[in-house]
Amino acid sequence: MHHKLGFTNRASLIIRGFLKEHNSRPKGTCDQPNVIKSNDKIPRLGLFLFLRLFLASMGSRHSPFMFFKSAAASLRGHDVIRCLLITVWLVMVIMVVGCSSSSSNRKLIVATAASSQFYAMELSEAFTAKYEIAVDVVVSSSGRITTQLLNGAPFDVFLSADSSYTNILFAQEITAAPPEVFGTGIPVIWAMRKGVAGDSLISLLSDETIRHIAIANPKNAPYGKKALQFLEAGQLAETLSEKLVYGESLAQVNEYVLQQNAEIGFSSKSSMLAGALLNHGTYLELGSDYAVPHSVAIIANEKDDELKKQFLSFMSSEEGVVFLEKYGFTK
Amino acid sequence: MIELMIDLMPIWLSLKLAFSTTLLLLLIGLPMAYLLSKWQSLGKTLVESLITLPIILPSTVMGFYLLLAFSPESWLGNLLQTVGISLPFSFAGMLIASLIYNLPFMVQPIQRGFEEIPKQYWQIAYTLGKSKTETLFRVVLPNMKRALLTGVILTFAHTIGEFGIILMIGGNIPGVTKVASLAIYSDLEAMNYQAAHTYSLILLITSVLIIFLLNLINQLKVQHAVR
Repeated sequence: MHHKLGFTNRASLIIRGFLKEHNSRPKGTCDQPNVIKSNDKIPRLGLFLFLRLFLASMGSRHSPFMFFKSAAASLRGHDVIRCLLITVWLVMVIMVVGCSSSSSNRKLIVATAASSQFYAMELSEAFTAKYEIAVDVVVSSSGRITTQLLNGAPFDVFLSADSSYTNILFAQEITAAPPEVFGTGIPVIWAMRKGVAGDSLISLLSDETIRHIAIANPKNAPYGKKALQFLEAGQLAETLSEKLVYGESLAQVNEYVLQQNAEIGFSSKSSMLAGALLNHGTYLELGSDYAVPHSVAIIANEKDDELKKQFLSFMSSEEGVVFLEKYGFTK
Repeated sequence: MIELMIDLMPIWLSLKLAFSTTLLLLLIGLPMAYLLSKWQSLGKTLVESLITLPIILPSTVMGFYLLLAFSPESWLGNLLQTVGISLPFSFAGMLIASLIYNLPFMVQPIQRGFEEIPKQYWQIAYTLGKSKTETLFRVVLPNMKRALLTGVILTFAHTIGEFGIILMIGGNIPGVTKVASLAIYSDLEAMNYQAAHTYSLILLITSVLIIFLLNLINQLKVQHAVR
């Protein structure tokens, strides 16, 4: 029967039916008797309650929110769910407005390069335990932290794996004092292969069973830069260039080697000593020529400078140096 | 008893961000989609292309440009600063970034929805004495529920999974801008694989559950309408 009707007629029927079903206040040409189904009552109660709550929350029943009122009234829904959803939405929005972050003055945010993250985490925990000052540690790459600091990031202390970044920040007067080197990280070469002695890792690089060598991106990761220098010094960079796979960070390199997607890789001693990799595989430290100096800088902002200095002096205190050694940095 | 070794704050922040983005974007996107569907000119094509822009730029790059725009050095950031608003590294900044980034995901499906509603629906409702607002809320929108739902689900899911732009503009600060996707990334970087797995699992289950519920509501409504 339906398909015999022209499109317009059919649409008209649909709309007529719809209006009939949902309109309790007929006006104009729509002179249909009101049809209220019994199962409409519960949802209406819900809508009614919701509207009352909504209007009450506006402070007055005759609030200037007439638009919402008429829009909501014209919804005249047939489902509690809709009301519930709207309520959830509203609660969420109120929370967004209400939960605007209040940063305490007695709290430090330490931004650290990924290569010193394990050290920074433990150091911060010890600092909090001793002085009861909360420390949030934000881990990222030195380059990204620098970009963020240049644009007003609320970090207080910056542990950088690349002193060129802290120098830029100092030149831009974002740091309160010139950066200081707090420790030197040692690049390593490591593999998961069993029965390989540490010393033979370098000769293993040119082995034909090695198909992939993982290295952190030399453009932005200092440990990657040093690894490339090491390969170049050994006249290996060119012959091995096809085997090199680049990770965006040391963690990615470690992941490649740990899962043996790359048979061998260049990483840092610090990550070899971290929980997840401790006693996994074999590693060999590269010489002191390839050491990576890590520097620390205090960021100038409205927060108490004394607190930041306290953190720095804790770093160089006897208690702090313990963590430096634990994660393979030399003072 | 299973002990959760993780902080649930990032999950909460993610849900908060996704819910507020979806709601606000629905309020912004609906009129936008409506106007776009009505508009016939070169300007429309231009605006449509502009709305698609956020998908083209890699999200980290997009985040970088927003960071530049919000920084106190820029005229916009400067203007906001004088009114006392600082957007970078705050939840509000993340929300705004997320609104911009998700715009195409909300506007496009709804615009198609509007375009697919035959003109006759409007006209007939008018002949039956209905006002424009009433027709919109009681005839047109109910007939394009699927398009609305698509926009809502895409926006919600996309916000939950958002990473690069949030990392750049939010700064990964615990309790403020460290949402679940950033927490997972941080744990991967720290090689805390167990924590990363737990976060991923919780995030997946909650998101699938919410999207499933939305779809279920839609299904029930369709059945209701058929009956």
